[in-house]
Amino acid sequence: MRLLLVEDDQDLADWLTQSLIGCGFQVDWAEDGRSAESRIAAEDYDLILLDLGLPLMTGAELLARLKAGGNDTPLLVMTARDSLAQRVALLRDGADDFMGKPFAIEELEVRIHALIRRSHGRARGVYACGPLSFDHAAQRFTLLGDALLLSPREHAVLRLLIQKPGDPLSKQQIIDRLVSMESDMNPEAVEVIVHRLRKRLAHAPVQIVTLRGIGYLLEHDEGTA
Amino acid sequence: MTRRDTAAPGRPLWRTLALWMLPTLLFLMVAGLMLSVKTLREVADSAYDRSLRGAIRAIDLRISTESGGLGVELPYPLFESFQATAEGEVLFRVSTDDGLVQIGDALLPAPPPLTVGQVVFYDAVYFNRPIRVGAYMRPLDPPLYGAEGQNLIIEIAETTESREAFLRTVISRTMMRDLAALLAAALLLAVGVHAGLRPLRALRDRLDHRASDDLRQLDPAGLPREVQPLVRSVNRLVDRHRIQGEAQRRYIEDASHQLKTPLAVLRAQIDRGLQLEDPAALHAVLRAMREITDRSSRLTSQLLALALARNSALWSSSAAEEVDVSALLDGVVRLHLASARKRRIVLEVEVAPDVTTVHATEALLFEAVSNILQNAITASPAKGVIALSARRAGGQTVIAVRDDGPGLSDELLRRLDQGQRFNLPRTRRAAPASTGLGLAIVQEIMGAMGGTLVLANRPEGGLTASLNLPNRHAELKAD
Repeated sequence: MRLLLVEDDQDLADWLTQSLIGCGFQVDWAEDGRSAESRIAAEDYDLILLDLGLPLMTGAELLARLKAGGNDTPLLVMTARDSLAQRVALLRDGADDFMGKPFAIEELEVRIHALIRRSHGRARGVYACGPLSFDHAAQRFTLLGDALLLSPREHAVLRLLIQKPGDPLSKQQIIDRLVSMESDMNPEAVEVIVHRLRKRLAHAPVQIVTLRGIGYLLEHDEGTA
Repeated sequence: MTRRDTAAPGRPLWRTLALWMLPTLLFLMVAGLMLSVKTLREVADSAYDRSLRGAIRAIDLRISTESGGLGVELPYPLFESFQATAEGEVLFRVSTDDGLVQIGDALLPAPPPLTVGQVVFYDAVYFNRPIRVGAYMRPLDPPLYGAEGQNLIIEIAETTESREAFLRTVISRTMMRDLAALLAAALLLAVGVHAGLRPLRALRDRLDHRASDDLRQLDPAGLPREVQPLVRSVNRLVDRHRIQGEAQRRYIEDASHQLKTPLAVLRAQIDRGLQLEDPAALHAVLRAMREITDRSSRLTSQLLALALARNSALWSSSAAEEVDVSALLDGVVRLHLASARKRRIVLEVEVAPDVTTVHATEALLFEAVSNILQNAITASPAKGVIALSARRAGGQTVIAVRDDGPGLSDELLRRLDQGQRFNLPRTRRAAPASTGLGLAIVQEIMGAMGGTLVLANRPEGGLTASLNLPNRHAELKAD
């Protein structure tokens, strides 16, 4: 897997590259925003590791330009400026993930793999949460390798949940997004659908968690259950 | 200090006063002058006209029709004395209203319509010279040549140079007097302003000659009463700076201590590592170093957050706005959801229906809520429940985070209550994620927003951390 590391501090870039190569990645290094932009235009990367404080063009500018240009290479931002408000703003501006410097290389590796897996799945139109996957082209759910048969409403709700892994959806958000197909959707109906979905997923390490006041979250039980 | 140099100075005080006063004075003077010119002209006219009337009477008495025609015996002595006082030329004409007979200056302009028995005065022009004419008409009895209803008109005119000259003299004197008064007023104004501002200049010199670190209070004695509030304001400002400066100094001392400790540990670990030959032991040292690095990086970012919170508290009161509580809590929860779910902790949000917005600086409030939620997640057992709630309570909005962790020891609660912070868990190895600064940051932020942080153990176990925010904090705490 090929990564582009955009980082102006030579020491950090050097050590980070060595560690990432040690993890089995192929790493290119760009020292500033402009050369990063031209490299991204010329080559095909699986992921971009972006530092924010760059010379010539700041990381935030580069991020904005890439997103404006329709580039959908997953982008992981590394920064020493880790104020929370900024973190929220970065994610909103299109960064896929965020790590505050300094960070543990193991965690970086895990996040890189997750982002790349998600982006490859999305490119093929496949969304996954543990053993549950959804093929967008075929409009089909697969659980533990078998096709999962669902009613149209169950299908629609589960599709919404699996397309945004790790991001809870409130009942109202679900209703808003389904309004085009279901005119008589109400919060009680959503509860019933979720209840039925839970039954269908009962024996799989995938569950729909209720976070009161926040929403529903589709989650993979990684052997902890 | 540099701002004063770049800002354009305002209008000088004397000019402001002059702009208010002088136009008014000027207007009053011009109006007064116009009024006196009118009055003077009337007075002069009535005086001069009286002598014209006298001349008309004198001529009237000397008119005879006994010869069958019209005869006038001119009162030469009268004319002479009259001419002498008028300092000009005297003209006369005696005529009948049918124009049959004219004696005297036939070229005098025709009179306006006259009333029998009345003397009328008017201005006219005679060979390009302004003249004042008095005209009188009376029935001629008996009429000439058998004509009927014939009237006699007597006109006497004098050139008006003398009365104009008189008027000019009087008016120019009035104007001179008014101008002198105006100049005196302007001068008094300038001198008064200069004298009135002398205490202020003295004050400025006192301030300018101060050493840059001299933050003593100014003595307002001897300054005009109007300036005293300004001096008191300056004193309060100076005092605030002094307190802030001291807090800053303490903060830097504390921070450098906190930052140097892990560096010293790292240094010791490296030295130890270099002594080691056994790869396994070396590995252990490296792992220990990694832990120290993690801790110091958390410490750094929290020190930074604390500094930012203080800074915002000091400088950005204007950033306060109406913050949507539900959206804020939702944002905080989403930020921490992943780390909470790693340990299967359930997060819940409950916002009372009467809570809509709070007046706060959004980034700071976010930071505060985020910090107490982070603490709760760290303290919570796996699969525990953490509830965030917002409600109104007696003029306050209370944002609370409740966990079912072990809570805080009484000792710790007491120390937090007394405002001790910073050096809390320096030796607490049990919770490596804690730098002890999280709550200090929250306290700092709450202080800036006029709110309070209340920590309380729950009887059923766990801790409730509440942020009590005034519904509207008018201003940053000034002192």
